[in-house]
Amino acid sequence: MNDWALKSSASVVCLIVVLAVFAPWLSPYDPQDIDVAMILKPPSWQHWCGTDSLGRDLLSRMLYGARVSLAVGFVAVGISLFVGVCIGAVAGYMRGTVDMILMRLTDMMLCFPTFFLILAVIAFLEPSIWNIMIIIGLTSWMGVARLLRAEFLSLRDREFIQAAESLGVKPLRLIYAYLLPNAIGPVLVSAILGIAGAVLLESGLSFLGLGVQPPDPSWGNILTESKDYLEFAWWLSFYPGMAILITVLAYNMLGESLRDLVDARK
Amino acid sequence: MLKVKGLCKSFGQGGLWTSNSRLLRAAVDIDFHLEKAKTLAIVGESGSGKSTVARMVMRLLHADAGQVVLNDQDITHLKGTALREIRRYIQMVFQDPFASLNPRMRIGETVTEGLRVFFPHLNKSERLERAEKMLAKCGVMDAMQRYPHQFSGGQRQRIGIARALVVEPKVLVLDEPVSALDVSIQAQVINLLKELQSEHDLSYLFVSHDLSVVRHVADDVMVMFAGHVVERGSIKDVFEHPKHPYTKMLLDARPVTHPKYRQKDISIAVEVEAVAESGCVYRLRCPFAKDDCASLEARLVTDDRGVACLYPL
Repeated sequence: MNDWALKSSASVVCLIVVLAVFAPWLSPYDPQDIDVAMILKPPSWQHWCGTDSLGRDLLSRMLYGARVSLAVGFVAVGISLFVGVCIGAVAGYMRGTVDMILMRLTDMMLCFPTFFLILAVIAFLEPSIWNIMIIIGLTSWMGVARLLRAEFLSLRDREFIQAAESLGVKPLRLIYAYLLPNAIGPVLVSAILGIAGAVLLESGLSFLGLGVQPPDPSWGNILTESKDYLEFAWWLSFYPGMAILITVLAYNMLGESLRDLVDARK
Repeated sequence: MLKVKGLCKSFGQGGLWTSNSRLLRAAVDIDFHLEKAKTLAIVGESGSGKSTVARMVMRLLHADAGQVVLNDQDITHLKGTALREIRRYIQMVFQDPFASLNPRMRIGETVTEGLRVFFPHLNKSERLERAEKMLAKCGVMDAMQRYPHQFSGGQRQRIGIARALVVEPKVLVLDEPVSALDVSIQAQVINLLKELQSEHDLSYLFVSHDLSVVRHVADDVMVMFAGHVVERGSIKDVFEHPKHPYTKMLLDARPVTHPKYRQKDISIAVEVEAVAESGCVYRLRCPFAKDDCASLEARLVTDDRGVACLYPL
């Protein structure tokens, strides 16, 4: 069962990545191309996923939207990994007061409801894809930091770390050659789960008009548009909704089955 | 070579609500000295503090009080670079061969690690060459490019020994180096250790609970119970004429292979696990305990042959 989940989710994730990367070559139309004659047409052989209120091809817009979602997912998670690994590593390595201060900071960050924190921050900044990536990254590192700290703390008592210490291995090398390689597995798994969260968060923000700004397409802002035509243009909400669902589900499944794999080894 | 004076360590016990209510005294006033090319064994049951002493000597654990003197240099409070420098002279072999090697690091890198730190003037190929030589000397071939999980327990322990010896230390702390191995492998590793000792004039601090192994390798022995040294002396004296009831019990509890020497029962084994808070630490388990054992703390008197008992056997 787990093997099946891993394989299928991994292939879906790969497929989505390929679709996003090759969007300019795969999409049948220019996503910005307005065609007044083709307004709100249902899916057909000409437009596989139908057209929107300005006659733009929905399939092309979704392929370009996938790029946005994945870019946000990867970059935001990259930032959160970087921040989380730094904070978790320092806390877990130093222990004592430093650990206490950093972990209370982490707890403080965890107290804020992320979505509203992001809304508050965006209110002061101009909503752009770069700001979104940075803000999501800077508000989602806490899980990584905690996980890595816990791994470090349990590794500190292992004999090979003590052996390295008695060989006089310097702190930085101890962290990157001994502690990190042995602690990073679960952290990467949680990062993959984090991608799902970031994709969802970006869609939500774009849906509220605080993320990617039209006319640039994103799954979230296609959905915003679609809500006005819900009764007579089902395809406008169905396809981007399905895209979000499948992407998030695939990343979650991939993360979960990788987690099982990492745990089983232990 | 290595002198230890009055070494103490206690650990706080108890949880959130009962903090500081009880201190576990893992090492109390430990004194010993280890000569060049000699082996001193520390024996005792688990929890007797023998590993704690080894770790304090290695400076992996900070002592509450006392001194560790290596080559006439007090190393108890060294830090940073100074601490790193003395580590070249004292190395450690760990108990668990499955936990003591970095699973994500090739053996070659693990064994050259010490050389990177202590012999920075060597270039990479010289380091690899030295590591390979030391591995070969310890009986491990073609290991450089492989990972720890590709080796058996005995081989891993040999790798651990090579890692410690490649920096040419003077003192080797061995924390139960063979207790995780099969008996046949134990003998091989013990023989290897003895060979290496005579070849490099190494001093061994040998921590073990296995008296048969200790008898085989050590010159002197120190018996610990509940953080206290209860008896000390040469192997011959202690094994043939144990004076402390605890030492006697340990020796009697050894499995005997020859039926002729097999005892009907172990005369002075006691079920109680308690450790006395005052007076003699062993008195609650001691079959010979008398009233004044509760009030008077027996101290080790002489330096070379000592017993901490008011009524030695």
